[in-house]
This record gives sequence, structure tokens and C-alpha cells, in this order.
Amino acid sequence: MPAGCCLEVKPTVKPEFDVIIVGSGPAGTSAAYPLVKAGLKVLMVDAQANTGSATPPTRPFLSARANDEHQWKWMIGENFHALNQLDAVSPKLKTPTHAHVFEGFSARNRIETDNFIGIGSLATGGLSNAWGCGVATLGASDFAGLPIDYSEMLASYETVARRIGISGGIDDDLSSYFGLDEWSQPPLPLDTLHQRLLDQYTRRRPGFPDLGFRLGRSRVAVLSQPLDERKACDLSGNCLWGCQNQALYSASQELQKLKQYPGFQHVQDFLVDDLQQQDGAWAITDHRCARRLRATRLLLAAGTLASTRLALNCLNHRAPVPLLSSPTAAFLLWLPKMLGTPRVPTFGLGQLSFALALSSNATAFGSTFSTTGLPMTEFVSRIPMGKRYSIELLKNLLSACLVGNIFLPGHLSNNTAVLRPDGSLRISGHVHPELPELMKTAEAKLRRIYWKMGALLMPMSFTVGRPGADIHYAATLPMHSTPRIGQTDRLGEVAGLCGVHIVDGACLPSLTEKSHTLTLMANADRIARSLVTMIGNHKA
Amino acid sequence: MTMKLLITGATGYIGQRLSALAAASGHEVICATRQPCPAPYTWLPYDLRGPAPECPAGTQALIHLAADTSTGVHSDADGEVQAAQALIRCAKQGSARFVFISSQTAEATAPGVYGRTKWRIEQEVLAAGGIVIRPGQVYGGPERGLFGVLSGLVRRSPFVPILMPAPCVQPIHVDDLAASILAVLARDDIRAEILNLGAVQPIAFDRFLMSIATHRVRAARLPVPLPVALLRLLRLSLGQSLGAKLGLERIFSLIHLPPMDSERSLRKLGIQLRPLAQGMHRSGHGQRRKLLQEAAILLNYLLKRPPQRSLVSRYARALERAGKTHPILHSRLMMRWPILLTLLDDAGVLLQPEGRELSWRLHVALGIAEASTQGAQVFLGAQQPRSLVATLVALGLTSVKALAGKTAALLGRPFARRLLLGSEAHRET
Repeated sequence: MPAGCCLEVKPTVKPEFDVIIVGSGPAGTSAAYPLVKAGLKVLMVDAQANTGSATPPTRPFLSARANDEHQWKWMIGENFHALNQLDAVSPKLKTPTHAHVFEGFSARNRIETDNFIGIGSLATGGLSNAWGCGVATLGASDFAGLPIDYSEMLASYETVARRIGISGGIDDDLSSYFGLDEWSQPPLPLDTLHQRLLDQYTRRRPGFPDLGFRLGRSRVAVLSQPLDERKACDLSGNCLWGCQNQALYSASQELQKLKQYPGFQHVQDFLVDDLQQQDGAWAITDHRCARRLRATRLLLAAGTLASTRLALNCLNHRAPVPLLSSPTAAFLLWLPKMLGTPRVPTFGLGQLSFALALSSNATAFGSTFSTTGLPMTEFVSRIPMGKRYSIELLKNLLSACLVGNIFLPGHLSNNTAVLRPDGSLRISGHVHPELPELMKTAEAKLRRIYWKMGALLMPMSFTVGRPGADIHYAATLPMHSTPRIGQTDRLGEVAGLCGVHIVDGACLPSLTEKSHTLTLMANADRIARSLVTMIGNHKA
Repeated sequence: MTMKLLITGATGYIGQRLSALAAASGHEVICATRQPCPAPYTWLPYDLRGPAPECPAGTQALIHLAADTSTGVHSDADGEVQAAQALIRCAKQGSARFVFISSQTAEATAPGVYGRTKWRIEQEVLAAGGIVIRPGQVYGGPERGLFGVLSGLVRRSPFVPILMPAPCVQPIHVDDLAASILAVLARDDIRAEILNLGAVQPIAFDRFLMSIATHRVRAARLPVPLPVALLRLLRLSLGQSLGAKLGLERIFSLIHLPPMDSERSLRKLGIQLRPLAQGMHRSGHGQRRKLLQEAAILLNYLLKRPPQRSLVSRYARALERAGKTHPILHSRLMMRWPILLTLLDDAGVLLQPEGRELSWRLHVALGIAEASTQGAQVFLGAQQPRSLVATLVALGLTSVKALAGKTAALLGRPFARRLLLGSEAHRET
């Protein structure tokens, strides 16, 4: 079936925009570029009302910790933000400088959860204001059975990768797994612990393929060389708290660039709560104001959860839809030989990554991080000792430790999202029955493998996250060659909603263990390019 | 029932607290003052020495607090009485009730002009069917008025004078007074009446000063006997105007103060006054001090050294922000030896329902302890390389200590419960 399957009704009154993009995160901004470059009139809306008042540290982490009398303001927040989020799944959610990124998303988008961690963002730049910067491409096989031309996808991967700036390109065992080296900057320097792990891995390399284990540099959307106005990472260790150099990619950095295109407009503090079709055009509304914004096409990029609710609500589709997320776990590694290593400034996100085959149809992906730059409070309460002694223990131990995470493919999740009669979206988290066993396998394998590299996976440290804790959500309205209601076509156009496209994670057909951000950005770029061609043909 | 209230002297010591309480209770407050008042209230320019203001339509009560306290030499007593008369007329025209805040010293034959003036105004008010409130020694809240003078005195001077013979005062917390005034307004059956408000049992003036020293200024002050005769001599030698400037005049008004019967008035209004020791604290109830003590215990336990003062107050603020004003740790033993908290910082206690609150507070203290330069030293250690052996020994020592702590926690559980339960019992009092 050709793209733009629905009959196009010529609008009686031409709407003021060709395209409205709902959301200014990685997906929305990636979709915007091809459109504005083609000279279309594009409006981008997001729901950011304020940017928060907490300012990130102004000097390197260790120096700030030793000397900054006001460090509590960025570590805890003047309103004690971090202390109100003691149960948060990730330290990112507690950081005062990121408070505005996560604030109010579920309540205002009417998302309710049951045994599921539902995170999203109303902020300009979306969740990329506080992400792990992990990037990877999917292989051609991951798009098998879809009417998507993989070469188009590859072209989009390249465009996006070059635009956002990626480091980690080096010829290692993960080069083909990531598939990014061609467009990457060199890797950031490793800290001594990671260097030791890598050395040990290289020395014993022949033994690892049998274990299904590959280790290499993490590929991250962090600059090791300057790019435009952004400076390279200087290892100040403030990744979690706010990078002064803007070395970490955030979609919010794109707005200035997008605004240089004459057809582009950006409106903040507009929370889309309804989509309405009238006179052959689409209008978005925010019940708090009388303003209706109209365009020929709508691109939903509000984040998987919010986009799903908007689409299902507009369709009035009340059957449950599947929601994929990557089951995740975290663990602590100890390198006994490194005891007594002083803490030094280092990069705070993934330094080394691994791919680990778990079963015939499940591969796990994970990264390890330095513990410097993390609040130690995160670890203290996990140790079965009085806190006074935990602190003492960790002071001596933690500089010889790394934290790791691991993600499993989305088909091992079993979550559902249902539109309820009151218009809210209810998400129920479940896992595949095989998952607990696979997690045990993963832990045992990792323990064995890391032991070969001289690192001990700390007993009791392997903690499986609750469903949704990965914040990789996808595939609620998957792209399909012959979409039914509740699915989308190869351009993310929602079956039954002619002119409404989903361009974020919600339209991805599957979710692998790899970080999916770059894929959803590339997919948004691909859809937008096709739309440009289509609209061009249509006008001609 | 919300009312529209016109308050003279609304920016003064009592007026400020009354306005805030009235506004918080949903009343509309109009401040009749010389200086513009803060934002939430309506301002009606008014000077005691000028003509009475136009009573805004719909005003249900006029509360007269303004008094000329600037110099203490009441040269213009007649002016004050006339001002009050004009205000009474103004209230009458708007058919608003009239409440006059007088003084315990009000008396036809009072030794000071202050008391005599108050008495003259009282007569006018009562004749017009208004209500007179005679507060005792007002204290607490911001250090203003006579309370401000006395607090300043105690703060600066290493001594507290014990006047001999000892005059007595009947203290009332400024917020209790404000609540009483609003309680009067809520009652239609009270008119043309004098209400005496203050502690039922008078206390010696020096005990009141010592209470300021102990609970407000938090410093030891040496009591020094001071014969009243000596003060009189001082006044004579300084002359009246200088004496007034030093606050002597106000102190003299306390001497010869006849005790007033406040029990009947308090019962009538259904007001219970807070104990003096509680009211003296800045918070008005003394809870903050106990929270600070709890903070010191928790932070000292975690940091293994006395915490910086800023951390202690940060903990108290964090708790207050979370709506928690009651301490759960209050043991002199733990204040002396914070390591005793080891007995409670154990899964056996923290995972129990009664330990959950302590567990949360430990987390709060942990977060606050870490996010400081002091915490950075304790949590991160010195950033120098150390030999593997030395580090292993340190880790071994920590484990031994932790094990000993665990054993102690197990053996000392009955005692540990008492540390926490003791505080629970404390909380209820």
C-alpha cells in the first residue's frame, strides 16, 4: 500500500503550518531538520513551563566536592529535591539540576502505572536532557519483514550520528555491533580501572568468544572533539550533575540551530491534550488556553508514553496494546588489585560496553561506569551494615569498584498499555516468564567472565530493575507493512488517523537490548525525509 | 465565617502577628498604618496624630493597637485619647465592633502616664460598647516591643538583674494573644467588657528574664540582685527623658503591677496559653531545638565527628519541609554518645514498622552529610594513593567494627527499643 494511504481532503482553509511536531526531544528535533531544510512551515510545541533554578557545579566534580560550600544546592537542591525522591530508580531522577526534566510528566499527560516505572519529560529537549548517551545502530536483520529500506535507514543513521556527535570510534570487538565507527570521533580516555579491565580482556581474548562475550569501548553521544559551539569532554566528572561544556548531547541544543530556518517556530508551555481533525487539517489543543494550532500533518514525538495516549485517545481505541521495555539490572564490580587507587577526574558515563549472548534469541548489552561522580548515598544503604561503617567501608573500597548495567531485549518484557474510559493511559508492567531465569544466567555468566578479567561481581549487588526502570519504551503502535488499527505504516502514520504520524519510540517495531535512542532519531529523520518527498510530489 | 477587619498599628509587634493570623484564617485585613503594609493586605494610610480614617464599607471590626511608644514621654496623652475617640466614632458609623488592646498597667491611679492614658481610653471604649483586652507581658515571635527590649538586654548583658522586691508578670505569647483577639471577634455575646489575658499564675520578673536567657538567647546569665531603690536613684540622676530612652520607664511600669485575674477571661474564650519555655523558642513551640538535637545525633553518628552547624540546621529544614516537626530521637545518652545509634541502625529495627521513620530520617541525614565539604572528606577520603595492604587492613578493621556493632545491636535490642520508644513517649507529651 502506498504511503499516505488515506484520501487527502483538500483543506478548505489552509492551516498556518505544514507540519506540527509535538515534542522537542531527540525524535522531534530529528524529524524537524529534513522538513525545515525543505522549506516547509514547521511548528514545534513542547510543554516546558520552567527550566528549574538549580545551577550545575561550575568546577570539576572532585574539586567542587572538596571546596564548594554550596555543593548541597546542586547535590540535594535548595528545596531538598533529592531527599523527596529516595525511592527513585536512578540517581538521575534525584538530581536537582534535572528536576524540571522529569517533573509533572505522568500527571499532566494522564499516565498511570501499575508495577511499571513510567518516566517522561515535558522539558524542551525531552529525556535527552538527562540520558546515558548510549548509541548504537540496528542491523539489517532487525528490520526484516518491514517495508523499510535499510539503506534509507543507514543514511539516516549517518545524518543523525554526524549531527549529534559520537565518540568511541575505534577498531575493537564491538565495532560491528555498534556499527558507528565510520562517523565517530575517537574514544575518551579510560580511567585506570577500565584500562585494567580492557588489558585483561585483551590478554585473555581467545577465551571469550566461547562464552559469547565481547568487550569494547562504549559508543556515546559525548564529544571527544569540539563540534560547533559544543566543547569536548574535559573529564570533569559532572556528567550526572550537568556538563559545563555541553559535551553530552541534548536535543535542547538543537533549538537554536532550528530557529535559524525561516519556516521554523517553537512554542513552549503548550501541553497537547487532544488532536482534532477539522476541514481536512489537524488541530492540537491545550485545555488551559483557547489557542488552537493547525497543520496539514501532525508528527507525534511526545515520548512513547505520551504519544501513545494521544494516538489511542484520538482513535478511541480501548483494546490493550503491548508496550516493550528492556528488562534491566545493575551490579557492582570490584577490582581487588586496584585497592588504594586514588580517585581521579574521569568521564562519568559508560566507558566500556559488552555484548553477551544469553540464549539462542537473547543477547544482553551493558556498560560499566566509574563510581566517581555518583553520590555515595546510593551505595551506602545497600550494604548490610550500619551506615556509619558502610561509609567507612565504601570510602576505602569504592575507588576500586565500577558499576555496571545490563539490558535485555524488549521481547522479554510483557507490559500493556490501555486507554481508560476517562482518557488516561494505564500501564501494567509484567515480564516474560523466561526472564527471571535469564537474569540468573546473566549474573552467573558475568561473574565468571569478569572474574577472568580480575574483577569480582559483588555478591548481592546484582539488582534486577522493576519493569520500565530502563526508560527504553517502544512499540506500542508498531510500524507494519499492512497496518491494522493500533499500528502504523512505514511512515509512522497511524492507521485510522490520516495525516498523524508517530515518529518516536512508539512506532518502532521492535526493541533490542541496544540503546534505542539513535534508532528512533534515525527513524524520525527517515520518516521526515520521505514526507518531504511525498509532500513535494503532492504539491507538484 | 470570614470578616473584614480594620487594624490600627498592624505593622507593630502584636499587629503584625495578628494580621498574619487573621489573613491565614481567611479574614480580609485592612492595615491602618503610617507606612504601607506588606502585599497581601489592603493599606489605609493612618496616623495616630492625624484624623481618623474613613471606615471602609463592610468593615465588621476595628481593632485598635496603635499607640505612641516612640519616646516614652507621653506629652500627648490627650491626643491619644482623642485619636481613640475618633476611631470609636469611625467604627460606630460603619457599625463595626471596636476592640481596644490596652495594657495590664491600665489604672486610673497608675504611676505612669502610659497606664493612665490606657485607662482613659478604656473608659471611652466601654462606654461605646466596645471590648477592652488587657494583655499581660507579651513575649515570643520576633523580638519587638518590650519583649524586644528585654531580649536585647539579656543578649548583651552577662547579668540578669533580680529586682528586689520582685515584681511579677503574667506572660502571654504574642500568637496566643492574636488568637484570643480573633476568638473575641467570633463571639457576638461579648461587649462592653474587659478581658484580662495572661498566665493565670504570675511569675517573678527575673524568672521571665532567665527564661529568655535559657530558651531564647541560649546562654548562661548570672543573676545579680538589684534593689529597686537603686534604679530609682538611677532615674533621678539620668533624668526622665534619658531614662525613658534606656527603657527604664517601661521597667518601672512593671513594678507595682497588681496581679490580674485572667482565668475567667481565658475560660470564656476557650484559650489555653502555651508554656513559657515552649513559647520562648523562635519557632514558638521549641520543637525545632529538638529537631536540631536529633540532627546533631544523626549527623555525628554518620560523620564520626561533630557536624558543621549548617548541616544541622539543613536537616531541620529538610524535615520541616516534609511536614515533620516532631523529633523521634531524644535521648541524652545518644546526644553524649551518638555511636549508640549503632544499636538502632540495624535491619532488625529499621525494617520494623516503628523503625521506618528512623530509616527515612537516616537517609535524609545521609544525603545532607554527604553533600558538604565535611562529608566529602568522610565519604571520599583523602585523594592520595594508598598501598593495597594498608587499604586491606582498613577494610578489615571496618568489618570487625561493623560486626561488633551488629552484635551489640542484637544484644542491646531491648535497650535500643527503649531509645526509640522513649522518644515516642516523649512525642506524646
